[in-house]
Amino acid sequence: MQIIQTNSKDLKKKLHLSGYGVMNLNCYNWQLFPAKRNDIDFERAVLELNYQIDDQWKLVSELEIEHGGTGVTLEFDPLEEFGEFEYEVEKGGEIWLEQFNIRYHFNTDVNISFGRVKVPFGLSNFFDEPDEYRTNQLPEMENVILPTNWTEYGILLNGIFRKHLHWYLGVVAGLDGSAFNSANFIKRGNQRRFETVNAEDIAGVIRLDYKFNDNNHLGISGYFGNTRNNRPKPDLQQNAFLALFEAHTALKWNLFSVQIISLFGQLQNSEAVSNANRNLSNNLNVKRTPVGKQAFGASLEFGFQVSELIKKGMKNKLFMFGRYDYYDTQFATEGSIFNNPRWERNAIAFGFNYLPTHWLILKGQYSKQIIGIAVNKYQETMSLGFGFIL
Amino acid sequence: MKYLKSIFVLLSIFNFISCSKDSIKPAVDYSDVLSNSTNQVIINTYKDLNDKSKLLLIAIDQLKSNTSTGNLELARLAWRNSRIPWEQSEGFLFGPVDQQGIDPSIDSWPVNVVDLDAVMASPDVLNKTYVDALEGTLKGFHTIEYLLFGENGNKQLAEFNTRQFEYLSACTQSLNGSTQQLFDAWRTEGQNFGKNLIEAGKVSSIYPSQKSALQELVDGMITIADEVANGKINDPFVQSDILKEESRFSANSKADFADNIRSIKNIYLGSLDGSGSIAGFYTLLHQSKVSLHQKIVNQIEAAIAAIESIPGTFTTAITLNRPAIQFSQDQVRALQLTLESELKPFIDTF
Repeated sequence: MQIIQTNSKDLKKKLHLSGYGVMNLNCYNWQLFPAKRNDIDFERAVLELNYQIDDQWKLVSELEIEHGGTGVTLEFDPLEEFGEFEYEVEKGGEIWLEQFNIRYHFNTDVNISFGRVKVPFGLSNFFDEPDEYRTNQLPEMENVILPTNWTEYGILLNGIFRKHLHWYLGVVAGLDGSAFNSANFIKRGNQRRFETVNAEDIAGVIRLDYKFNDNNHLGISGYFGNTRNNRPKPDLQQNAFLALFEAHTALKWNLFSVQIISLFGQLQNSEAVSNANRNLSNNLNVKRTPVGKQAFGASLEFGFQVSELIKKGMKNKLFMFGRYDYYDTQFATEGSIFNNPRWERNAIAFGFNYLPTHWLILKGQYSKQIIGIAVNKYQETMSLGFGFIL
Repeated sequence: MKYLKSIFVLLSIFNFISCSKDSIKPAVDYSDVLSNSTNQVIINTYKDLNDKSKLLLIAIDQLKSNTSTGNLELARLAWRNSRIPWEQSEGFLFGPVDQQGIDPSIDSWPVNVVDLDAVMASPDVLNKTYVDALEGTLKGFHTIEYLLFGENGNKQLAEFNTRQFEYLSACTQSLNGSTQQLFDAWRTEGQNFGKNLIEAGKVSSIYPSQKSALQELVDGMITIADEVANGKINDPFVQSDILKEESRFSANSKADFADNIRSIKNIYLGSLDGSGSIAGFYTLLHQSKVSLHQKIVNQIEAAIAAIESIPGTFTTAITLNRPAIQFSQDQVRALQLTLESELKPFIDTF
């Protein structure tokens, strides 16, 4: 939505500013970590600035401010390393230019983008604004396994074939395998730790979506690339190709909405990657926990627009939703790597979304995660928050 | 003209004084200090650690093959003995132990009991390669300690089972691997990291000057003093929570803390025998800042004495003898303050 007011008619036409943000209060009751404190997380505020240079060229940028601040954050991770403090340093603090690319529009059927582009993979990367997902936090399974708001440097072609088939084809900088770990599989391999991004390995990504109409589509995407040569040091002798596949659908029917995704990943020579990671410098600030050979996850979200039952065409919208996630970041391990049952997780969540106006969304949810161990396996979280969309 | 002449003479004198000041000042060479810190203290400590961890493996294999109370006590003693050089190495946690990510495999705390139970319940074969691949919180000194001493430090022979013995043995072999890697990384016959300190200032070293190598050493001393005072002692003490106490199972915490302070002492004196008979860090002060030197020596001894005189175990003292803990924490903090506010600024002037 355009909010820039200017006398320059031309500038107003060309410049497009929008934004969104999310803030949550979380209350925890975790058996394995009873001392976990309730917290308030200003998850992110995002400013999108697009400039339509002419009919063909467009500059697309997205500036994300995570956790409401800048600089270095100190994280306490009770589950991954049982209580290690961890400095999380993101490039340029936690202000992060997530997207910055130039788009050339050939015709209605084909575009090319280059620069820092959004990786066309998964469902939540396409439904990332607070009114596009129902939960308080970003969809759990994808957010654990895949980089959050996954963008990479690269070239991306996209277009429409025969009106319904939306396609994407891209070549992007590959992941860095030194940051792969038990809890998050390849998520942290999205290079953000250094001033420059290693581009020795590149990856290919492809996506096909069949759109029946604006609200209903189903599709698949795949990602394939080596993760060996983008490591900070050449400390791995074998290749470590990563393949990711997912199939998804998002449907709306009358008052109901459904989103389903299933995701599978396989990492070549995961034992060798784990062994190389084990000896990485403490200063590199990576987890160094053994990475799985395969990861698998699936989720189902079901929404229902209650407000339409109360009064048809009501301006204030109320949705109720239920969600189920299953994922295992060590679905399979290789060689002598211990397949830790703790990384198999089931989670249920239910809650509400209330939109008093179209730009504000209030959310509340209860979620329960069941981790794959025998005792102390329940993690309950209550969240209340709001998002805004400008 | 007269004035000009006077100014010229004055300038000449001034110039002479400043030049002569420069030329008189000898280029100070600290290579004997750096050499003793490296060869006498660091490499010898890592050698001792490697030797003691091998003795620990022998003791554990002996216990495994002949399960008796005597062998259990010997294994526990061997664990305590191998703990000494490790804790005495914590004053120099830089170089390979840090760069090659070795310390998490040796000394991760707390023990990851949840995952350890899962490993025990798995059908996996427990050997060195397997344990090597596990994350740090599932191996190293404290996992071995937990299995040898038990949650409350009074584990009985009947509570051991075959799988635990296998894990103990594999875990100690993995520990041996790490201590060997660390020793090899430093010694001349290995990767010779020690050369960097000894040859500091030369192109063959990663340290651009002897001063930067000395700063590395003094930073190491400050880090461990801070860790003992404000981490190891403070967390269980202030929170009155024995679960925060490192080396709780073996009741070895006081020995750990005292050995940490001894790591400062060893680097400061440049030797392991406590005599200060050869050039050490102390030499830098001994000639020009005698009172600071005496202060540091006194504070080191006071801190060690205060820690060792805490009555009972550290666990019991958290509830029964809090003033004694407070006193020992104050002594370590005083030492830390001196190192930070007097020794380090002095080195920075070099």
